[in-house]
Amino acid sequence: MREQLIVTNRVLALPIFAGIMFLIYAIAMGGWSISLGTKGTDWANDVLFGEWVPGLFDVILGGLGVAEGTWVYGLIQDGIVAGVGAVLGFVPQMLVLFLLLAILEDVGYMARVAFIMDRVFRKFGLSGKSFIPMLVATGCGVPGIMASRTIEQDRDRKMTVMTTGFIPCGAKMPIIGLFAGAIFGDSAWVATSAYFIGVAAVVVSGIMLKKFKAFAGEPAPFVMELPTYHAPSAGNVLRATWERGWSFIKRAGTIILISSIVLWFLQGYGFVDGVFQAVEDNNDSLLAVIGNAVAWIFYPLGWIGDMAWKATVATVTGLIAKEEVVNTFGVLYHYAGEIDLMEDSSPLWTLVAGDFTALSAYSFMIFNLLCAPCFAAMGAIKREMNNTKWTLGAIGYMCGFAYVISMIVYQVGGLIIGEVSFGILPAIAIAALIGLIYLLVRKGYQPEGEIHHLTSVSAAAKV
Amino acid sequence: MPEYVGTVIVILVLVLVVTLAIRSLWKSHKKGGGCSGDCGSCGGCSKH
Repeated sequence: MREQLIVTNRVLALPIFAGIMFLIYAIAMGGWSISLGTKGTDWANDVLFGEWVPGLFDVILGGLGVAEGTWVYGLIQDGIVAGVGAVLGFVPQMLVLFLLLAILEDVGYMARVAFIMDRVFRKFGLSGKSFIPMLVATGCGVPGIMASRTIEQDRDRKMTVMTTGFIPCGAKMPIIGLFAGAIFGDSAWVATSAYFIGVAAVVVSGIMLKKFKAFAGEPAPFVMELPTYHAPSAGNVLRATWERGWSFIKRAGTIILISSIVLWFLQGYGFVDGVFQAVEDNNDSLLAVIGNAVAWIFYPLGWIGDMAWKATVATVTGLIAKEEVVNTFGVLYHYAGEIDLMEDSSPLWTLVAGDFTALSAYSFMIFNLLCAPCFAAMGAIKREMNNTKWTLGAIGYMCGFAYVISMIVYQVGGLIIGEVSFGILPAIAIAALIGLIYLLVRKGYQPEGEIHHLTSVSAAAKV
Repeated sequence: MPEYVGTVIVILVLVLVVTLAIRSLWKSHKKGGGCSGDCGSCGGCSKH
């Protein structure tokens, strides 16, 4: 009972929740001595997929008479091993994260978080029922979106479907892990900030959308039975961890494997002087041509220079599955690096760090965290909305919101630190920020008729 | 062993692996794609 009073305390509940989430992300993805996930990922990237796996394939291919320098050798090592290895390297961090979240769920704490968040969400027009899909979405966005079926009110359900995708799912974690390691020195704040940016995006969206007629109205009441606290069951925790982790690994063996092959081809071949051939520099590749045709859209987000088409292509492939972002970087930068994996085992992070500034990296991370989820999640949105207009609206809203926030972060942040000089783009970003603030503070649509807010005591007295 | 034999073997293995991967994705798509909500019929997605 005493723990209940502390954990669900009006003042302490949120700071305790923030502290616990920070600790979880620090253990899973931080740069401390207790950061078991990072230690595992460093080993996986540097040793397993940096030396052992490429070395094994080198022996096998050599034994079969496939010489280094042939296209088959390049496809296996530069395409599949580099791409799939880049994603699988993050499995240790994922497993540690899933394990800690499973412990919190099994203990009964996450149910209390939904109760705590109801009080917070209600101030912004949502109820704690909207937080439960978001809890689910930390594993995978698809069941998170489907969990919105528990919300009876159509407008709140639609709003939850539209905003659940903002919460970083397991597939987005490698993106955070890559940039946290490459640019931000394994800082635990990067992963924690990504999670709370997702929550903030939900809250900000809730406030803005509730002021429109389509979403206006009181949130549904939230009644739930809190499970008693109990020691976590090893079987439940390990099973939940394994199921989430296996889903991640299975995707690496299927869709990411296929994508690695396609990406290897597209970024390894192109037209040079009118002749279709293998290219030395992947800036001359077919993929660069495709990426450059679209990359201009993302210039306001700070994706400029040679990295622009790579960042654009990685974002687009992320629509297939969010792990594709890291897979794409693994293929693109490994090829560009021309580094012997068995001599220098951590080229990916070094090369990524060379192309991104801290601000453009954070802008890229935010865009990929907040923008439209993967195709599987879009399919779930389509099923839940059951309406093409609402489905396209939801996806368009997420993409637009992500674009505006990333642009504001890069342009306004760049003005503050001196990376960006004042011009048209910063002016547009400032105007967008002002517009966002206006949408947050304006009065909004008021439903007809009086609304009486009664406390439980007043309501009982009226009966 | 002639050089091309090793290349052919690797290509055949790759084709087999990719075929199995596509088959797995197609089966998953036919089942409803990702999580169908029926936990009894699926053993590998993220259960909650």
